[in-house]
Amino acid sequence: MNKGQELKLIRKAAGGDRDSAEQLVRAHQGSLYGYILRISGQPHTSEDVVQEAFVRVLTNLDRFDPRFRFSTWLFTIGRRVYFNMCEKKRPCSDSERVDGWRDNREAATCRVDRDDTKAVCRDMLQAELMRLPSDQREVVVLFHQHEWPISLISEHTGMPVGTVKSHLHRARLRLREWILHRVETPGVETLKFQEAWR
Amino acid sequence: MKSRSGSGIGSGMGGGKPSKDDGRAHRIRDRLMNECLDSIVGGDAGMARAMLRASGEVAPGADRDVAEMRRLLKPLTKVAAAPDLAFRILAETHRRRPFLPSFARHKISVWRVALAASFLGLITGGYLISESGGSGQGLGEGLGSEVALASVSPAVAIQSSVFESALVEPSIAVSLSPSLRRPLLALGEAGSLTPARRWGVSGGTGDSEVSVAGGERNAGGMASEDWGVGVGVGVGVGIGAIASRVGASSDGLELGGSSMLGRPTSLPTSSLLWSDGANTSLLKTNPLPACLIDSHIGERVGGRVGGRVGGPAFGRPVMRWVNPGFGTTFQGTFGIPAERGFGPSAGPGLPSLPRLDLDSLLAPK
Repeated sequence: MNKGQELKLIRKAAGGDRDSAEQLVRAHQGSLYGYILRISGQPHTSEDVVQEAFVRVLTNLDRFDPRFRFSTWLFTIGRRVYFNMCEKKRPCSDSERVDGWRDNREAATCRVDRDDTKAVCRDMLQAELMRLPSDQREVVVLFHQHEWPISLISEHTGMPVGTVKSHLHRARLRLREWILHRVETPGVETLKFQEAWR
Repeated sequence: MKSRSGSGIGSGMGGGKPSKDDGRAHRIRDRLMNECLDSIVGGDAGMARAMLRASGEVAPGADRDVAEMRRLLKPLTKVAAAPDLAFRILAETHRRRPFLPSFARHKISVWRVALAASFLGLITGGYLISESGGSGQGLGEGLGSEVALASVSPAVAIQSSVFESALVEPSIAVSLSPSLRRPLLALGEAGSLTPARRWGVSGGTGDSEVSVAGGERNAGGMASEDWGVGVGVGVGVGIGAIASRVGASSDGLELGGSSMLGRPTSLPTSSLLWSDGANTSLLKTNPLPACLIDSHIGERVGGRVGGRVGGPAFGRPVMRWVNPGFGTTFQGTFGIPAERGFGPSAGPGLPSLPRLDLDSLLAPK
């Protein structure tokens, strides 16, 4: 969907058109869900955040500034909703998050065979991702998953560009260190990972 | 950092106890890797290649680091398939701010409204009348004839207003009130331009309005007589979520006033219009559908005598669509002429549309 089409949909949806609103939701729910899932590690939380973010966006579409990207606005609201939710709930240990991620993969969509080496890689990466501080995790997800430019990430997170870069660089080094350490630890997952790696 | 030799993964990092030079080399390679990845993901792979070539001697094996890191992060680029939440989202959105059917979303232009008003005016109230016993400064006299083409009933009152629509700025509010003894030509007599202006007070919005009233009649504060084109200026004040408008124009007395409490929940709106008498509207916009009680009583001050002594009274069923949620308000009132009292009648031999006489209907039989 190009920007013109998207703007047209936004205008119609702002005027109360259900079909246009639905098209907007379908076009963006996947990326928002992926983003929140990566930073939260919890599928149920992600679903709640996605729903709440979309509802807020759709009921305030008349405030949308067409100079900006819709997805950026949506992600900003989603991020705010997520952090607000975290503030309210709190009990989110990293282990819960990783488990949540695994539950999610099995329950929701992925339905990955545990023997699938790619799934092992994804699991391992997600597990290590969850060990990162939330700032670093978010920056990595936005940069590598959504391929946002650093300037946009800086705007989105409210961090200076230099801070975003340093978070990104540190996060990569940590991830590499942790994953390589894990790969060297004997185990079934390691073999799968090495197999996929080669 | 642990030794990475032997596994094939990270083997470029070397092994054994790191020396001071090794540490420096590591830092250079790490930095190079990061810069290269930034360039690659940023869409400038050429820059990354150039950096790697240039640093071949200082940081040998950096290209392997970059490739390794890219492989490692590759699973991130696969977006997890999301469950379909569209239904849940739309249902919740609809609960908080209802979607509108297509007919209610249809925007009606000023000209369409004017055209519809003219048409309805013609079919419901407009016919040739013969002024009998008229005296004073009637509009009929302005024509220099005792027979005037007139809309004898405020049978049609259409108010269309689109407020607070950020996407359609300036929004337009139009009021058309063809009323008693107003020539048909004056159907477009009153219009209001309402530039939507936001007031940043507690999320409320208000509208300041400049209303322009023209028509073949006198305007308030203007010296022109019959058939002059008058301009009345309405003064609009918006504070917080409250917007109010007061306008005065026309000969005799016409006073327009409305207050509006804005989104997200529209509260009662009232408007007072005196034109050829008194016209009072009380609008309650929430809950939907709203009702509008509209009465038209009295006689134009200094108006014709003998034309409508006692004055007609009208009750109008009203259709009204309001969408407070999405920032658009549309309201339309379509009057069905119902007349009580002593009204004008078509002169002998002049075509006339049937009228509903409330007195005869309500009178005890």
